[in-house]
Amino acid sequence: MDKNSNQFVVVFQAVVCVVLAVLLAATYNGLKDDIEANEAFDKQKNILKAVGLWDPRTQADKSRKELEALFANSVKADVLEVKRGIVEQQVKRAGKVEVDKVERVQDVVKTDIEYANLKEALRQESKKPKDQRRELVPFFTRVDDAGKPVGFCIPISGYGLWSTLYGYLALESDGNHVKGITFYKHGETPGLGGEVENPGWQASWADGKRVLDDSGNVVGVEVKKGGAPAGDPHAVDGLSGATITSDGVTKFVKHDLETYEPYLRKVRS
Amino acid sequence: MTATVDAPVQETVEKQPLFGKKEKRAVLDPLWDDNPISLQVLGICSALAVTLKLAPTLIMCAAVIFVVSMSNTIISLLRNLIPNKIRIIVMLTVIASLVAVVDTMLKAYAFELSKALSVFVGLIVTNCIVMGRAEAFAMANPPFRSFLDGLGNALGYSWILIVVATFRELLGAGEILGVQVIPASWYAAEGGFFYDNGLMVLAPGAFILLGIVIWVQRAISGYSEAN
Repeated sequence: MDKNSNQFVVVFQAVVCVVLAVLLAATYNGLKDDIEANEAFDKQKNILKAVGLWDPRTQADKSRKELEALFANSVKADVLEVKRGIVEQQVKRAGKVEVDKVERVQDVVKTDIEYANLKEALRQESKKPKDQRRELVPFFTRVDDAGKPVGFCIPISGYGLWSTLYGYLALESDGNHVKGITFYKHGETPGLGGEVENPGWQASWADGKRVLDDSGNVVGVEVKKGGAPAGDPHAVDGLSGATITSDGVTKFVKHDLETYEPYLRKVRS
Repeated sequence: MTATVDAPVQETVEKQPLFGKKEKRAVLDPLWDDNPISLQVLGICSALAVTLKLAPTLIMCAAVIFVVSMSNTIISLLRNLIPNKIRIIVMLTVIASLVAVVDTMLKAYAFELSKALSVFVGLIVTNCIVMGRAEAFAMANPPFRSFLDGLGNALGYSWILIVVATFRELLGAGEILGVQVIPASWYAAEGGFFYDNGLMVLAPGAFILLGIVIWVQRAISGYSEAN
């Protein structure tokens, strides 16, 4: 058989692709449980880090068991339902007043779904028709020994330059002061946008930054190119060489805070 | 004096010992006389990027050893079947799949280190050494010899990375494999003379160190560009 004929070339490459695809699928399926357990533990560690229960720099020797126990005892994980509605909003455009329809979070309520079953619950929701689907999100509360809430933590995610970044933002029990921020998954350039992992930069978020303005509206924290003015409670230094990642972080942190705002209003003290 | 050239590309039908002279050369040459990093100057990107600490470097080396030796073996097994027109595509498919397998295994068994290596495991696909050995050696040699060639080249790459990473971690953080080896009393803060060298933590530090390693290796092996 002529191995340079078109038929052979097509058949050969097809066979190679199928064989390798089967190999990859088999590898992933065989290791799926381990990988998912690792990812779940990684999230727990990041939540512990964000709410200030664990510092990987000084407590790197804590075992997986200890950290899992710490998470189980000191962090309460709930599943919330976000209810969105369409509201009409008047906007002035070119001198004329027009009415725009905007989607707004109207209420966020606690559900009785266990956090451990969130993944399965989301799978069930995705099978429903779109207008009946519930928007389920996790919410974490750091509790003290008496079970009193001493801080909150919400997942944050959004687009940077190359990838979606995933992380957590922790707030003090007043729901206003930032307690910590972490990122556990992203595909930004190491050394540029990847500096969202920089512990020093992450620490600057906890340095008295606030997410609400004086009248209680969500303003978030701006990742400011060129550096934040000293003492500004609503800005942190931008990341050098990573303007688009910085802008992305600013936007999605604010957006996610707005999503959780109706619930935070209920629980903050 | 002269740099060694790859074994002439021809296959003989006569019976040969399993581990003959050619096999020995395939695995030993890349370690010193024909080192992929110091003589061929391939795979420099990852050599700079993953050598900050020794532990991730060792994982990276293990990944590269697996990928290069396996891709060489597979390509060599298929070498008489692969249509010449699409050989590069076939090689890339094989290499990319192997890298994806390694990446998945790291996520399952060494999650922390796989996070530390971030994109660089995936970037093994673009490491010139892998593709270079598939094209230059595996396409023209039997499987066992190709396997040894892949092993040799990956080991040649690995030992240089390990040397660079050892110095970077030692001078940059005073540690080896995360264990403090520079005594606290040596630090300037304690009245000693030692400072953690910030340059070593950055890519330029790796570049300078790599340059020194290449210089020393070439000086000893007697290689010069003029030849």
